[in-house]
Amino acid sequence: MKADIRKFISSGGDFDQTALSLYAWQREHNPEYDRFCGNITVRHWSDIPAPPTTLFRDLSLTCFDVAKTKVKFRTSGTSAGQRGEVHLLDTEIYDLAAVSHATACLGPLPTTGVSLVPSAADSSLGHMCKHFVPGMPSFFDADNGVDATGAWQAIKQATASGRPLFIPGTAFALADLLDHPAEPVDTPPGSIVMVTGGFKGRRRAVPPQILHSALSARLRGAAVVGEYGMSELGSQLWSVPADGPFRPPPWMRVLAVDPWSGEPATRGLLRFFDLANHQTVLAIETQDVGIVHADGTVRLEGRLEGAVPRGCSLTVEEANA
Amino acid sequence: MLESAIAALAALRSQDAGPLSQGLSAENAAACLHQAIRPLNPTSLRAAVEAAGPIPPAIAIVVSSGVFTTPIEWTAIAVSAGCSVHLKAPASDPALCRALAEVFTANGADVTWSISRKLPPVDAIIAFGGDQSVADVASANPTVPVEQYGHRFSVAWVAGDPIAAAGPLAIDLVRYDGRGCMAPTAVFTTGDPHVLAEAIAGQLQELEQRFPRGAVDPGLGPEWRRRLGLARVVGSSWTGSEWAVTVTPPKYFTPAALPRMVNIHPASSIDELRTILAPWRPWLSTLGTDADGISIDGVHRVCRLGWMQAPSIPRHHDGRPMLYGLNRPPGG
Repeated sequence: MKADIRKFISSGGDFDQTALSLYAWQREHNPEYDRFCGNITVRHWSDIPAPPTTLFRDLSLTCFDVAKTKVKFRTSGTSAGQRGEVHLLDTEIYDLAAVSHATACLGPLPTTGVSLVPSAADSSLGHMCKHFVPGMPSFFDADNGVDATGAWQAIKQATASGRPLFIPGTAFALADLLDHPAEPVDTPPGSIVMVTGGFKGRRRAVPPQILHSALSARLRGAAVVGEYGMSELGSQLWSVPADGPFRPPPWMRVLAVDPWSGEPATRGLLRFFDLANHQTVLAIETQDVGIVHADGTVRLEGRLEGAVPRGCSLTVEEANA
Repeated sequence: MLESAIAALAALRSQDAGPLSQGLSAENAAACLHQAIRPLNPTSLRAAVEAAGPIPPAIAIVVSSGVFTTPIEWTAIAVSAGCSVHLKAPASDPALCRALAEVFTANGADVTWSISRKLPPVDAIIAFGGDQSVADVASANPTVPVEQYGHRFSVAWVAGDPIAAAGPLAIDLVRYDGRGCMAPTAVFTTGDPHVLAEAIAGQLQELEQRFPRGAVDPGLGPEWRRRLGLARVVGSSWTGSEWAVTVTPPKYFTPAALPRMVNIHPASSIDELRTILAPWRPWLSTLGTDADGISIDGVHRVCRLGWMQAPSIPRHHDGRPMLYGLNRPPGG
């Protein structure tokens, strides 16, 4: 199956047919997913059962003996606190998918950069960025936040080389970077500022357009782009420029569903069907809300509003925290 | 003012409960309203006033959305004690508070309502809602005592005949569609959980006809699917069009209720349940059970199955007599 996925990512293919083959293969090799699916009839990729991402807190959902796990990505937990784990045997397909689609969306990737994303080994985001630009220094850590002084200094030094820069950061880390009173920097042509994530659970929030404008003003010449990904997904979506819709790779489909019924909807909860998820489950249901356009691109609208406080009972998110 | 309260409650009872219920079905809303008013009679109200001790002349009640009948008993007791009451209604659905103020005012009591967060001058406040919300109410009103009733949840414990337990438990699950701190978030049993699950499933199916489920919060959909999916993988599940029953190991206990989904967990003994609930001690409310002589640290109320959502009057709420201690100094 892995060879089929590799081939699809490299040279394309029939998505529906490949997705259905992968679904059948995953049911055969992933006992937890097989039980999750039960007796459902699947005729089209959009019928494939999509476990909620929160299920990764309870189950490993792997197509291999979990004891053989070589790579473990932990979910961010967002506002609920409790973190799930995604187990992988290797990152070959993950890496291939990441580079292929990033290159398709952004052009040649810079070979030097300054990182403002988590660098922990269990961060899929950190893994992707390190794969793009090996050895890239990171000026963010979960405990201490952003080292803005160090980051600006590193950006200025890297700029001097004249080589395009890759500056990936979470939205709140980049907002912290901008809070630091540094002079604007003229970045070399081909430089990219990658914005990912939102401000959910943070005490402050900067509207995306304001953040993107401010980044353009302070990191002059760089393309400010958006990235959407998560540990449970083997692929990423990119928005170029950052305010535009997100473009999924050819080996992914996105479906909006009614949050309660799970039925397809114009606007709703986003389900991703990602062939790069070949070692876990190809379909997942996120807690993000958006619109899927006719061309397959996705307009993100943020996180699903949590459960309305139910009297004096715990809300679902609090109980899961 | 006891007579005013009784007359007002009679007037409220005659109203169409559906529009007051924050989305419950008309049939379920009527049953919930009846259940909430039934224990409020001259004898119980007198006893509740006595148990409360001195109550200041003017109080405000900050009402959260969810259990639409919550302010009824508090208002009735306060009015019976001669107090004026201001109801801060949930902005999303103030219908019950408005109706409550109207019937009490029409019967000579001083009961007002508003959705404004700015409260009129009062001597004490009773606040319901999330932990942060009630703390915010206290912070915003530092000069008066604020009785804070934040998050709580309840569970059921079945040690006897599962068939006999299923009917009353289903009533506890159906009332208010699982909203509120007294709704059972999970059922623990020493018996065969599958027998209990099948019995409850049968009862829920039957009750669905008599008391249809009301509107559901779409935001609960992913959690509904997570629990059902988890049960398919590690346990068992039964589903109807408006209800679900799951059986999963106790390590998957989640202390948040979903509308007409019950999660059953096997437990070897009451001591195991005590261990499971120990981390949640500050948030425990009610234990519904078919066993005698059960106590669990942190549980403020133990009742028979079928009565979890129908507390008697007078009673304690979160371990304190209702309206007790409102004469204390601010912040005390």
